[in-house]
Amino acid sequence: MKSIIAKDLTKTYPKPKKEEAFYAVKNLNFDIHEGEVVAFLGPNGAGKSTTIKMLCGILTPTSGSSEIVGKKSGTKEANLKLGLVFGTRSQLYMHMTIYENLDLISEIYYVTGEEKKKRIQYLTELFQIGHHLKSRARTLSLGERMRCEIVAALIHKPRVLLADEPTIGLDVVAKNKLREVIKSWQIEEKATLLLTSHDLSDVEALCHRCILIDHGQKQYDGTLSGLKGNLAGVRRIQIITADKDKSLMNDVTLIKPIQTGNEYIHKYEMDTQHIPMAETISKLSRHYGESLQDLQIFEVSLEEVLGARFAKREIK
Amino acid sequence: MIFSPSINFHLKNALFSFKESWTNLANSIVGFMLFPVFMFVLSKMWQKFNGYMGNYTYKEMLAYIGVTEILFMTFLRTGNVQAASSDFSISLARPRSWLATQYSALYGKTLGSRLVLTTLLLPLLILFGLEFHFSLNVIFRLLLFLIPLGIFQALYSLIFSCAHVRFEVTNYLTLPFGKLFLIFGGVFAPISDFSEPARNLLLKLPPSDLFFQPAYYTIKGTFYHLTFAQWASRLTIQLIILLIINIWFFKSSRRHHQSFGG
Repeated sequence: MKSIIAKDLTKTYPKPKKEEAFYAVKNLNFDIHEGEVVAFLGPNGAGKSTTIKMLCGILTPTSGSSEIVGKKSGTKEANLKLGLVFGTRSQLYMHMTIYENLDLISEIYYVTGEEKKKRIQYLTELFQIGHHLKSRARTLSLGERMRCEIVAALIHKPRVLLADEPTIGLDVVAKNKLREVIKSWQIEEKATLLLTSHDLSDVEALCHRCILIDHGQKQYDGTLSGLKGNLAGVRRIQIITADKDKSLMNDVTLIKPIQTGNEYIHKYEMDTQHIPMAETISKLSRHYGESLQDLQIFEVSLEEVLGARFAKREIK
Repeated sequence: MIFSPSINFHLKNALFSFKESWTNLANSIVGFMLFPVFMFVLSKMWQKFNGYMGNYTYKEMLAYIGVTEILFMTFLRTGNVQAASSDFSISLARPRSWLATQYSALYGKTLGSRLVLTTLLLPLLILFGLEFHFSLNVIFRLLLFLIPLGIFQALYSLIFSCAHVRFEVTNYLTLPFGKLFLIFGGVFAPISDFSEPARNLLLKLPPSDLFFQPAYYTIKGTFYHLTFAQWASRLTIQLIILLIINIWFFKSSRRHHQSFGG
């Protein structure tokens, strides 16, 4: 079953002085199936947030339509199935306690009585915010508050969660914690998650599929490894040698040395599609012999892939 | 369960909203401190400029200013506070009616704040030397007005909440609108003290039904040149117009909402 459908979704914003309208999103089409975790990627101004806001009914599309679990976006039925998290916008009332906030938000979604109590208890345990229930939202750190924001978004057991940069501004520890709990929630409730984030480590940790947009139009829709294209097989190998006079291995054409500026650290780049990893490691072992202290292998990060893709992007 | 689930929710929402608006203690204390100051200064001003007319005693005027201040201090500002409390855009993507939820929140804030200020008014009136029996009468009559007046004044505030859906900043709309009610509502001085033709004109305008007439009733026990039925029918017309404006404005604003700020 399809959880999210976007059909020719288009949003234009008027420009001053009667210039031609600006297309924030143009004829965007995609489907997301139940239980999928999908990243929605693109540079600043690509139209990600506008799309999310049209999917949840905050913005009215100029043309096209969208559905959430078979219901037209923005309708009561669709809103009941939908959870929303915006990293840059809060749905908590800052001067009220977290419990008071969760209590009211539950009622907004028709979750009442015993069901409400059980749901609050379940989510506060899962997201480890039990000790914050009596604290006012304004007194919490950003990481703590974000966990509360997500609990507030999940209080009515939504089938779809739209998360727009939920980890923005968080430190590494808070970020990892948030990812962990989102992952366990998604597995537990088998819900659909559409995530936008500029932090691609979020995407790599949570998503299998990604939709890439730029200038409001879809550029790619597929697996994360597919997005890397030719770079998917590229690996970077870092060697630590005990011999500072050891030279870089220059004689193998398919293993490209990279200058590092540190005599003890040597780096190489190779492509597993052209030369097997076992052969590369064997060649490096032979070259360094007993001076080889450590060896680490890195994939090309999604950040580099997108960086390369958008480096020559024209800003409209 | 006494009420239907939906009414229960809106009552809860109203109470939540009232509690939220009073969590900023510093702001509340400043409001409490300014209230008697306004009462004293404005009634002294009235005594100096209008006292010679003999329409009211100084003590009646103190009570009148106290009542109009309660009604005016809690009027319209609530719309903006609501917009700043929790993100507006997210509230548009919820299953309950946005207009009804906003309305119950505004009503809770308006009525709650008025009840707090009304309880403060009784000791203030006695402190200013008014007889206990007269002060109690003023408070009792004012309490009768608070629930119906809250309905109208929350509807006026709701127009500004709808404006906030459409426009990024609405302060410039709220301020002049508030000032119009201040001038035409007889907040500083009773409309009955105005000379003709201003008096006749102002008595026909909506602000007089919301500020002057109720305040006049609290001190005199009757409306000024108006029966209860006339006052109620005028308010019914206002209610219908306000409902139409709110529904139309919300629908129009909703279509043009741009969710500013990424």
